[in-house]
Amino acid sequence: MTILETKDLTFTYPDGDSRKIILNDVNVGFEIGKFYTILGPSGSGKTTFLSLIAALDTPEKGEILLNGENIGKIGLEKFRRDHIGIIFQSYNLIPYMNALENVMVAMSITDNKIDGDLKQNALRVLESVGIDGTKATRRINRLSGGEQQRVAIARAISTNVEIIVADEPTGNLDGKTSETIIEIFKELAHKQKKCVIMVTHSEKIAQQSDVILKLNTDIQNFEAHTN
Amino acid sequence: MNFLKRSFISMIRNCSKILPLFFAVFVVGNLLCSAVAIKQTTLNTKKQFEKAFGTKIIFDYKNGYQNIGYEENNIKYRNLGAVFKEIDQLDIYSYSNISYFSNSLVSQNVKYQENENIYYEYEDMPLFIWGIDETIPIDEKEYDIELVDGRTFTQTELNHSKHVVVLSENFKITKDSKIRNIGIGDVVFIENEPFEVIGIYKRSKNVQIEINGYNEDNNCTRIYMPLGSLDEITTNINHIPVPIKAFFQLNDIEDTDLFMENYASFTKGIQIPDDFYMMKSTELFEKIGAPIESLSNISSYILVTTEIIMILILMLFVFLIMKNRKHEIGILYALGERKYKIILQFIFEIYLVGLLALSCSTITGCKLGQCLSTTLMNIDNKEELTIKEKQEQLHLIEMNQVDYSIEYFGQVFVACSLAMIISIGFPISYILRFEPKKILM
Repeated sequence: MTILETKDLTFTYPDGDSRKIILNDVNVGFEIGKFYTILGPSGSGKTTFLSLIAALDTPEKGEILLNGENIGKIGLEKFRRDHIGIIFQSYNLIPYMNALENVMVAMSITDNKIDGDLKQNALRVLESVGIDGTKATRRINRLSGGEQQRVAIARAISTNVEIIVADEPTGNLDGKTSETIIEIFKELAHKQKKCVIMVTHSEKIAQQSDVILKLNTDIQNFEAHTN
Repeated sequence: MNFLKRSFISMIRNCSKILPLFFAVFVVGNLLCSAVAIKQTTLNTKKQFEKAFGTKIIFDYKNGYQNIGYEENNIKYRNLGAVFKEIDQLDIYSYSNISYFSNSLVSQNVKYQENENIYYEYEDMPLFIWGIDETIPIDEKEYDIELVDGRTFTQTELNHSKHVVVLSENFKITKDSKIRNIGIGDVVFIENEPFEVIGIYKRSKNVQIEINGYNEDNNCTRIYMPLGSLDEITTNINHIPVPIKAFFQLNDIEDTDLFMENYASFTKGIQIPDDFYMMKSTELFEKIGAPIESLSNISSYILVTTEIIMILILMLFVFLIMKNRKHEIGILYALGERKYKIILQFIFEIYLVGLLALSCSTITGCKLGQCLSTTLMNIDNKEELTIKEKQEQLHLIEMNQVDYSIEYFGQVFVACSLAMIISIGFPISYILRFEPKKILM
């Protein structure tokens, strides 16, 4: 079942007097319960694409549809708040807060229903990504990179959203930690029936996903490969 | 974890970043409080002046009394006397006080112990005989003179035109600087009529009078007696005393217009002296309150300047804070937080720090403002004022007080709050115009 799709998505950057085409009439759909990776060389527009489908930026042309409805109509803020969880390469956690507070911030922002006590829920989600109670109360800068990325994942999934997007979440992590993160994504897609979309430049990591979307720099569009 | 809680957490954990803002607001707050304190002082002083001096209308002569004596002018003075009598019938004032004077008695036949002519220590100075129709002479009422011995007139003495006088203590000194033992109960002869001395007065301490000659309105040359007595002794020489000084203390400031209307109707079609002036206490304030008014203007400029400086400093600090926290704004916005909540979080956080700094600066700023206003008032003390005006100006400066009223705090806090909200709201709103991706870049 397609939850998110793009229609004729186009994006350009200013390049001197002209504009450089990054994405050109991209049409792609994403389904619930699948783990997608977007693969491509640097400058191919992976992060730009992710920013557009995460409503962090607006396309020049084309539409992004959530269950057939344009996200512009839903409202970009509301879309981010209630439908999508974003994991950044650089974690983007609030530095003066601890892990638990970072998760609770996202939980308090969303309008999605969260059963039970907010704090207990946050602790449970953190536990599910491998952050125990002791680490949960540590300030962010006292956690390792891998732990910070787990907190970022916990924050993204804590709001009960259907779609999780991750921009090279393993880019700053060692191999073993990267493996753990990928396992969490697989579990989110397959067991928790989320639609997980991850940008990576690693062929090896991409091989673990259900669908690889390769961004070709020449045609500025996707080639889909199902694993 | 709503935006208020986020503000508190940020404030507690970002102390070192917030501290410069605290000190900036404290310093600017002191300036602002000083300006407001000065401004409020001037307003308070004006109010207190009105309360203390009431609403009075004063009639006096600009250039002394040299025009009195000419029959043509005396008609005008008598016309004015008639006007005063008509005004006297109105019930819009709590009391009035009119002094009369007869030119024919100047320096003439004022003798002590039947044979010694009384002269003032400055022998060229004339002695003026003033007729009083109130128990207290207008000059004492107006703080020009101060009774040092004896008393003023009783109502019985006024009603029955008793032969009693109040003299200056300067009459105790003869022209060749010898002591004359004139005192209460003594008898002086005016136009060969005996008058008992019932009171001795002196000039008020605060007033420094320069004696420049005949025309100087020098109240030490005055001899006060009941108006009836003056009438009586002038009848023999066929001279009618004329009013030379009067004031009316109105019940209410609102009655000023009514008084002026009546005055205009009473003086319509009749000739009145050209060289007298009429001054309302409100006008008096405008004249003698010049330092206060200039202070008020200065404080207004300081206030406006300080507010601009405050907004600029706050904007600078907020800009620096925002530069540090821009990423956080981007994170919150990327998470889908509503714009207004992000703005409120930062406004609340910075405003709370500002408010704390402001509360501290209110106390110190108020003291600073008090010192500053007193200093400025003393500097701007006009020399060209008359003795009486100077005296009242001194009273006015003494009234200079800053009170910690709700109005005072209200003014300071409203001004600062506006400055802070503008300086915080503007940059955040600007940042939030961009998409989260651009903010996070």
